[in-house]
Amino acid sequence: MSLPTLPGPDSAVVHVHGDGATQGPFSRRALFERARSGAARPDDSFWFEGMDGWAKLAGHAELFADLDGSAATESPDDRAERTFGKLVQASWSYYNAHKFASHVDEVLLGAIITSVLDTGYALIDLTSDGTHHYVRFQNLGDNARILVRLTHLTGDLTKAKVQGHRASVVIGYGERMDDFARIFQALKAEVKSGYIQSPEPGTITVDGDMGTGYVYVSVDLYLCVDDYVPPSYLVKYDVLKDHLGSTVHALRKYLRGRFSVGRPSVGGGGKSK
Amino acid sequence: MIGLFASFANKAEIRESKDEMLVGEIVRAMSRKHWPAIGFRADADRQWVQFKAVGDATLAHVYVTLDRKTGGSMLQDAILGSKATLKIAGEIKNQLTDPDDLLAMYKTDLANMFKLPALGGIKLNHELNSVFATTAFMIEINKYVGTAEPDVDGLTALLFGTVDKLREKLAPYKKS
Repeated sequence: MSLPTLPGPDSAVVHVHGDGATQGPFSRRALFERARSGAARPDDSFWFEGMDGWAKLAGHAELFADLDGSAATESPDDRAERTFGKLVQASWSYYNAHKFASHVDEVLLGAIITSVLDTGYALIDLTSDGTHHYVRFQNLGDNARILVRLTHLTGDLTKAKVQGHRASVVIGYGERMDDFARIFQALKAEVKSGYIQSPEPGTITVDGDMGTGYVYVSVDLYLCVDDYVPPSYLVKYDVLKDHLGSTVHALRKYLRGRFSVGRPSVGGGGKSK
Repeated sequence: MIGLFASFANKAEIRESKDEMLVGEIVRAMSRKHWPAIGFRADADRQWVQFKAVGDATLAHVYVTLDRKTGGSMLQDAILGSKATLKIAGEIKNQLTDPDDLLAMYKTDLANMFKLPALGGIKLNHELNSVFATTAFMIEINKYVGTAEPDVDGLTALLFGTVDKLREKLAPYKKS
């Protein structure tokens, strides 16, 4: 049976017959809600002014087409599958929030790699186990090095919701020293740095590598990852580059002041591509 | 003298780091497309990076694995070059909810379980919610990084050309 022109969705003109009783009139919207809640069933009959006779809800999805016609006419199997589908969809939303909390540090690491490469450095070392990350860069022009050690502190959603996404980050800057006295001076400083069990933010430690002749200075920081990586994944590169650049500037100044470096060959720090 | 030794040591480090240089450039190329890295697993000779294909209508993730084969030493680099296997995989996610679809995917999972990807070819693999397309090929790292004129544009073209082919293979399996 084809239906005449449907009444408006909120006009209470639809009569329903089921379980030996007639109920209503209901509006189409109210009937749709009853069908969704199970109060009206697919084998109930309905009638409104203009119809030739009673018709089963199950055969007339068009009655709810402008609302959401699926509920009233679907079979119990379809309804169960639709409910299952909704549960799965809701689970994806929950799962994605967890995933974001667990890999936001890696988004930051990738952004750090991009930002440092943009200033003329090349990535020369990458070690990661998923939580602890270490990257080292070298400027192929003046051989200056930048290192970043990043540890994710809030890898689960609960911690991230309470504290925000946090990471412990050590940023280091190094230059190659050709004379033994400076490297030895750095190695002595390194021994002292070794006594610092848990550096406070801003503490600068010194490290020397006799094999390659590099002297590094490093600083411990705690970063709020949300400042750089929003849930949209559109990284705020301008903020990240500003913070990295400022830190490297401070470290370079400290290194050169501490070890009396003033050679033009390493004086430029990073250069832009 | 110490400067000379340090210089040798530095050159050796740079030679050993060419695979990391390449991975760095891949991460940067992906970020230009606003595809952030969301997973890193890296040790001395093998780097694996997972990217989120933000805004892509078909792909959910792209995986890049670089497995260095030669070029770690000066002799190898001079004779054989710096060869590496570059494996790129694309993944679509269907977030399946229909039991009939789940059943169909389960059957294709079994069928694909023992297939191995051929070098240069594209292998499809269903894993319930996900379908993967994977390809692998041998590359010369020196062609792209570590030289006076690194071919970053060539690397970008190789990367996204491959991703386009993987997307094309996967598109028929993407459910709206």
